[in-house]
Amino acid sequence: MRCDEVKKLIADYSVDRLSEKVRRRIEDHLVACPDCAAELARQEKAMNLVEQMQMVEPPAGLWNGVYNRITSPQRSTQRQNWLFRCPRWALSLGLCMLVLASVVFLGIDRAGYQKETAVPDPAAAEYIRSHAAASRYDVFADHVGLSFVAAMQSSDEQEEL
Amino acid sequence: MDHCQKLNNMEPGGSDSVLQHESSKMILPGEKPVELVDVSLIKRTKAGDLCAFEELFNHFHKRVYNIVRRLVCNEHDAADLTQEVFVKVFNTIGCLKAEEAFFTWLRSVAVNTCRDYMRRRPPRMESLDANLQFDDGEMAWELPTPDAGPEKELLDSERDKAVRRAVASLSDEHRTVVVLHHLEGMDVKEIAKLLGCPVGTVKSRLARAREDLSRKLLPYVM
Ligand SMILES: [Zn+2]
Repeated sequence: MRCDEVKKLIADYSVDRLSEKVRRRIEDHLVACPDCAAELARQEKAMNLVEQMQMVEPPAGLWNGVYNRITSPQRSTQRQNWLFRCPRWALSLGLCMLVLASVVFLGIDRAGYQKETAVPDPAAAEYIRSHAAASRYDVFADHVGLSFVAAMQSSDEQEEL
Repeated sequence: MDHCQKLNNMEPGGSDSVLQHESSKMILPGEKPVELVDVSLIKRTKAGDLCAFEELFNHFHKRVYNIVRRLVCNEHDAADLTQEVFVKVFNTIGCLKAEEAFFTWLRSVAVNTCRDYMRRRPPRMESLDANLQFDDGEMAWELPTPDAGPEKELLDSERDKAVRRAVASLSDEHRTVVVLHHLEGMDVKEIAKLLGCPVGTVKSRLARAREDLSRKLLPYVM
């Protein structure tokens, strides 16, 4: 193995990330090459310096902050109220569903109201039917809305009969 | 309960080896291993005893603060996050089944709290970052305690700052594995389990961080 190849792999060798075969070849090279052995030693020394980092004293008053937070009224809310345990996205999703549900129900309610009062128009029914048929294979068409209106029209016609 | 399950999954299979490994690496001679703690304190905390929890806090907060500070490299946020960790621990300690693995669990709460924070914070500018961290005094976390004259003190202090600056300049992912492996003494399998990634990923990050650090600390390792 060449020196540049070995040097590229020394860190992976140190963390035991190489296959047995490559590891052996690197070991053979290291025994014979002082330059690559020195590179390995430098990396080892750098990591030793990191490991010698001393711990620092925490600032005073940390406990007071913890104590205040676990004894404040919000804490009991946080521990007991399921609403606060839900992640924020779940709450947003729930809210969206609620809004969507009310819109749908209001829509149905209004449609029902219109059904009672509106006079069925055969021309409009024919237009909607042909529009729905034409839009069947249009991916951007509002298929749900069209079927809904078509269903309303057909029920109107049944009522007429 | 989902969050209970999640918390208990973080516990290691065998905590004994972990404790031995750590105590050989982290604890100075004559110092009581910080990982070992009276299990009755944990039981009392579970029952809501604040005095017991204060004792747990006093026993562990320096270690937790240092883990957090080394991970996030920000003095002010480290204090806030350390408090957040202990509040979480108090609120969820009921979920901890293996009481003898309390420290391992506490550390996983600390690491996950820091990871959430690091994901939220704006991306750092790598080239400027180390200097910014250094200039505001952040990286001068503590002065070493030299056993020789003022020159040695100065040299040690310079080297110490350089080491802190080099570690702070790593990407969040690389720094996390360096702190957990080289400063917390965790083995790669434990780290992989805690971070939820393959062992190979942990090793790869360690290797790249190793190259980066030895390059940045070149004047101190020649
Ligand atoms: Zn060579």
